[in-house]
Amino acid sequence: MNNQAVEVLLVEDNPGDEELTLLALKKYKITNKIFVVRDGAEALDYIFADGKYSGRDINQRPKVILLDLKLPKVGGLEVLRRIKADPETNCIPVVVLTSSNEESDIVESYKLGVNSYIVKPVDFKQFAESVREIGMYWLLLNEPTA
Amino acid sequence: MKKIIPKGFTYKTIISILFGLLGFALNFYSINFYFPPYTATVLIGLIFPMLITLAWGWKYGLLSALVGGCQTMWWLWGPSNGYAIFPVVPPFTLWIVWHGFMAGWRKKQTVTKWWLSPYIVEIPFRILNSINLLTLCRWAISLNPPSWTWASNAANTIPMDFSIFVVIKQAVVGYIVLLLADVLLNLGFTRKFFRLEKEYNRTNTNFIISAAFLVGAFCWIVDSIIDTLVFQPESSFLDSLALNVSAHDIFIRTAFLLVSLAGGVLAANLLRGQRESDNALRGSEERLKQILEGNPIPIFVIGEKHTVTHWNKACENLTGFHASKMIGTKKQWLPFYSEERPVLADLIMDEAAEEDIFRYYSSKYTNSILTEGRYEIEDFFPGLDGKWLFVTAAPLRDHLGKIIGAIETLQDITGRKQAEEEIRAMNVELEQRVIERTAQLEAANRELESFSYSVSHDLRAPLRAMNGFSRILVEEYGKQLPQEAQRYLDLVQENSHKMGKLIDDLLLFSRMGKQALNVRDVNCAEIVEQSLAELQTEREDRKIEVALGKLPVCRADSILLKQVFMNLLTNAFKFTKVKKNARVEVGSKIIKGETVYFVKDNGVGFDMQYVGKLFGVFQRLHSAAEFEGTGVGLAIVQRIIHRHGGRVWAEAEVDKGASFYFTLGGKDE
Repeated sequence: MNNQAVEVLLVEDNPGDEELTLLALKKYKITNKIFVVRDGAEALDYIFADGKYSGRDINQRPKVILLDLKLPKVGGLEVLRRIKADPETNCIPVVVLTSSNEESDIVESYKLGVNSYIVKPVDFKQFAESVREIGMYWLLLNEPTA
Repeated sequence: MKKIIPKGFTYKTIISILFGLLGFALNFYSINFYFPPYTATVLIGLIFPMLITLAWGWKYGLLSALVGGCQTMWWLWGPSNGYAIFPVVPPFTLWIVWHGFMAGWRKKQTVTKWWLSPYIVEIPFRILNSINLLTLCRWAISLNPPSWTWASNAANTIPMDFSIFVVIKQAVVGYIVLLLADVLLNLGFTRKFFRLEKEYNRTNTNFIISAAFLVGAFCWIVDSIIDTLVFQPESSFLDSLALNVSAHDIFIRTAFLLVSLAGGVLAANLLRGQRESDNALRGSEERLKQILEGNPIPIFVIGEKHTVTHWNKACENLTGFHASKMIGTKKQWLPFYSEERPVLADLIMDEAAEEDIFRYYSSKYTNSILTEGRYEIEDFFPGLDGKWLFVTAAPLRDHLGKIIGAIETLQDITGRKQAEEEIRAMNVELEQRVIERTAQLEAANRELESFSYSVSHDLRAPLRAMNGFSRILVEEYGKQLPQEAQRYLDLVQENSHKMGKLIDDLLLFSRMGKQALNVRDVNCAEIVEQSLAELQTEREDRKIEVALGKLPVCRADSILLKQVFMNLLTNAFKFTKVKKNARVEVGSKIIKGETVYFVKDNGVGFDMQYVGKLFGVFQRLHSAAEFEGTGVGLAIVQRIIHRHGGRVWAEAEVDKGASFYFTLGGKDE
């Protein structure tokens, strides 16, 4: 991959949601380097520099991971569990960005140590607002650990 | 009438009268004896009424006495005693009645009581009559001469010695009469004559009493021979035997005879007693055998040295082994086991330790209980066509507590065991079915969950895309689009919005069905106030009068109850928006002991003919253009109320408003 450090890792299988998320980020001028993976397995490969991402420098961690829960291959909750279980990656902020407002998903995510849980609104205006807030907080205000 | 007359009444009456007359004749005849025999025999006629009274009771005795048995006394005593006959003669009749009465009492006893014997009951009578003779009679004599002329020479004084002589004579004669009557009533032919029970051995009694009489008669003859040979060689043997005997000799010989007879009666009675107790023993053994034989439960008994003593019919039927093959042997194991070994009764008899019993009955089927020397086991007997038996055994002890045998009972419980086994198998099957059903239900539930999860997740994404891209289209290219196209895009957004809301409501509705109820005391008024506060924005720019009535504390799930009020109040606000003076009332009232909550409004109401559709999902009574909404709100209300075990209903009139009522039931979870 290129040398520029990836700052946002978006894990999203739905192309519509992916584009809307990117559009929302763009709309609010959050222009950090964004990398998109489309299933849970690819996300894990990317994060742990494995499989087709084995050449990637593992020490270049994204500033934030935006994680959908319903993903092909490996589910979002499993991805979250793996990230938070590994001492190398557990300090990367993970924001669950999902359509699910099931109580059990929310509870499980927080148990696994998610940093934020955002339900994607149907309305784009509200959706864009949510994405903006995430970007503002995690990319501009939050000081990442070394 | 027939029953009142006792059995053998005519016979007994005739014999009683006949014996009375005989007694009269004998007494009357004996007056003509010379003095010495007269002394001894004067009252011997009393034997006849005495026999009657002892055999048949006091009523016949009294008849016999009155007909003649005791009436001779008037003549015997009459001429020389004057007034004395009044205290002297009637006691003879009383004597007969007394013995008859006591004989009747004696007969009622099941156990022989020595103090009811005629010889004992004679004593009180004799004492009273002796006092009578010594006092009343002497006083009566002192009143002589009496008014009747033929007794004018009656003495008006007698020496005390004579009175004592009479007392002693009467006592001796009394006992002689009793003894003779007793002897006669012990004899077989007499008993037959009097139709008395024949249960004791007549021949033996006859023999003993005859022997006793012969001994007495032998003494009499021996004394006569000695008299003739030694003391009075001049008189003939016949004179010595009976014709010319001195009073003293008569007395001695009679005494011998009586003593012999008394001994005979005693021996006969003892023999009878022995016979009776033998019979009783035999009878009780027989009864025991019959009890065992007649018992429907298979029973066998082992005695000393483990020999079978009883093997009842039911036991024969159960085992197929006949009693004649078993009794007297030690083969009680044979029907049950393929090799010689102790059965439960043997172990009990040997006072085997519990572990020994367990050792012998250790097959996996056995379950055994020891209850106070009695052992119960349930065991499977392959040798008996695979029967299950409930076996109990208990020791038999003698009067010293020593074990002398054991009794074992066997009950065929195969049917019960099979039923138990069937029930067990059915339970297992049922359990299995429950597990399967539960698994199926759980699977269905999981499917439903994943379905609603998919709805929640997957249906929203395309909506978001529709909404998002149409909005971006408006924002980015709005100016290039004709107004009509913009309106269409607005409609796309609006509808995607609506669908989003619909999905949310549906998910809420389905969650209401599966979420566990958390019922506790809930402050209803507080919940209504919270709901009103949350709905503040909905009525900000409107003038609505909200009236809160009495809202008691109730038992409900507070979150769900709040949902109910939220939905009902939302509806009330929604459907009053066309009214100028909107009014919403929340409260409760007691109807037939049940608290009914209500939310009333004065809104547009609805036509009661559609009330049946009101609580259905997606059912709407107003067009979406008039009033927005998904049609799920009341369905959710109904679901929540039903889950509380309550009821919900509505009343309305077009343009007059609607009232929604609900109860919460008494459900506790």
